[in-house]
Amino acid sequence: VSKASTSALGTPAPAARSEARLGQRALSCLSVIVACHVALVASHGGEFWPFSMFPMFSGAGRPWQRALTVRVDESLLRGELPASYALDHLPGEPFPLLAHGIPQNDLSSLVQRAERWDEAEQRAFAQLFGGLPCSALPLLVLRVRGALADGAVEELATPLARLSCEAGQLRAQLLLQPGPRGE
Amino acid sequence: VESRREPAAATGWRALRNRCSVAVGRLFQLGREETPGDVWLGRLLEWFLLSHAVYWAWAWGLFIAQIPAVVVAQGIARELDIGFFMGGRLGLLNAGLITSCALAALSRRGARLSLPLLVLLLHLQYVARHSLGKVAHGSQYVGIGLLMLAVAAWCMPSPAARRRFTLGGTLFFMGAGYVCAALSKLVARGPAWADGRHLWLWIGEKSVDQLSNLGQFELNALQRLCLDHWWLATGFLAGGLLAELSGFLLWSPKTRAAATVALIGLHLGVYWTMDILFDTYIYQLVLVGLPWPRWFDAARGRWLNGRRAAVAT
Repeated sequence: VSKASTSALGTPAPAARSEARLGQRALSCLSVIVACHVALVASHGGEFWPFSMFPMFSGAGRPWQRALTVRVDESLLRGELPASYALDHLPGEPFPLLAHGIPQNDLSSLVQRAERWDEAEQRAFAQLFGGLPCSALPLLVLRVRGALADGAVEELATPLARLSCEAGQLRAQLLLQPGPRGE
Repeated sequence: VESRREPAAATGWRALRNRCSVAVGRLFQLGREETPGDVWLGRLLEWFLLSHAVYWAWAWGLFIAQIPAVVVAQGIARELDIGFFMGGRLGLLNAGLITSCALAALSRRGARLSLPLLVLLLHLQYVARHSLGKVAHGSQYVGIGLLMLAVAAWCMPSPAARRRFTLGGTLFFMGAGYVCAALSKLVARGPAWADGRHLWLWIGEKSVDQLSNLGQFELNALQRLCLDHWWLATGFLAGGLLAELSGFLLWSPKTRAAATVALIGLHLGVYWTMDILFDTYIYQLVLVGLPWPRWFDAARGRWLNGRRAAVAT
């Protein structure tokens, strides 16, 4: 029986058979990967690299918090600091983190949980600034909160920690009292 | 004479499975004869994925050395205590292992072992690097591509099928990822997600990031326009959401190029309005979403014809 006739009788041609066989194999692989994806993402808070639910930007309109570091005078750190600052009335010049290899995203992520810091988080915070020379200090780390109010964006910076140099070593002093951990 | 007949025995679940197999086979073009352009693209994709894996392995390894402890456990770190991995040189050692795996895969020596090992080690590197709490999404699609390379090395019988599966699987999960991102937004906020005031809030957030990173910031012309015109900001968000929703169009060769252009537009829009550049996503979209094999084969054919004509004269 020739190939052409088998094809006319409804039997798939070799190329089609090969495609179907490979398709079956690919489908089995994809099904297993999708099942693993769903199980891992569901059991790990939506993230299990390289699997993700890609939730970025889903919290539209929610208030945000970011870190901002400013270089200040020694005299400012000796006195009482105001509870908050407007962004156009900061107590010093913004300190460029990128030039000093400090990742803004990681710092902001830490700053967002400042009330619940434990010892590991305090060490991680100090470590991020650990490579700075004393000549770059003192610094004041602020937590900027932004929110929509009456159709406009309101931003307010709250002092979070002061970083100074003592005996050639960086000293980080938290201005917030850590609260109980947990949600 | 009937040209096609459905097998009588295939009913219910089995019929569905057969149909899905055929659809996947056609989608991945598993039965089509491979052209030089396909081979060239497959090799380029492999280099793209593995070179990014090596780059991130070292970049993350250097940062892991600075992190004293796991602050927020992610991925496998939820089950395994990886505290021993932090603050020392183990991250760099892991980067060396990942580099060895990548070189082994590229040289076709032990790819079946080295590729799955590379994915596992890079997962460990990722969760250790991001253990301060920030979840970064810039490397996810490269990770998916690496996983497809690893699965193809085990499950596909020939180099051509492995290349097709890697490309098809990467496109499948990239398309699903964009749709998932759009659905996350719609589930969280509904159609009101596209309200232009939400973009104002993000522009404010990213301005603080720029001020913190560079010590200064200036709004660009597009950001100023969006802040001045609510309808324009709303249009940008709605356009981005629609582009993400159309991510599944990456699956079909007929609609792939159009979806790719729309998604690159989405990423450029995010960059110009929010100063967030998913550059690796853009490069990967350009690589897997545009019909490079067709263009390559056409150019090669013209060149070969030209040479033949020159020889004949």
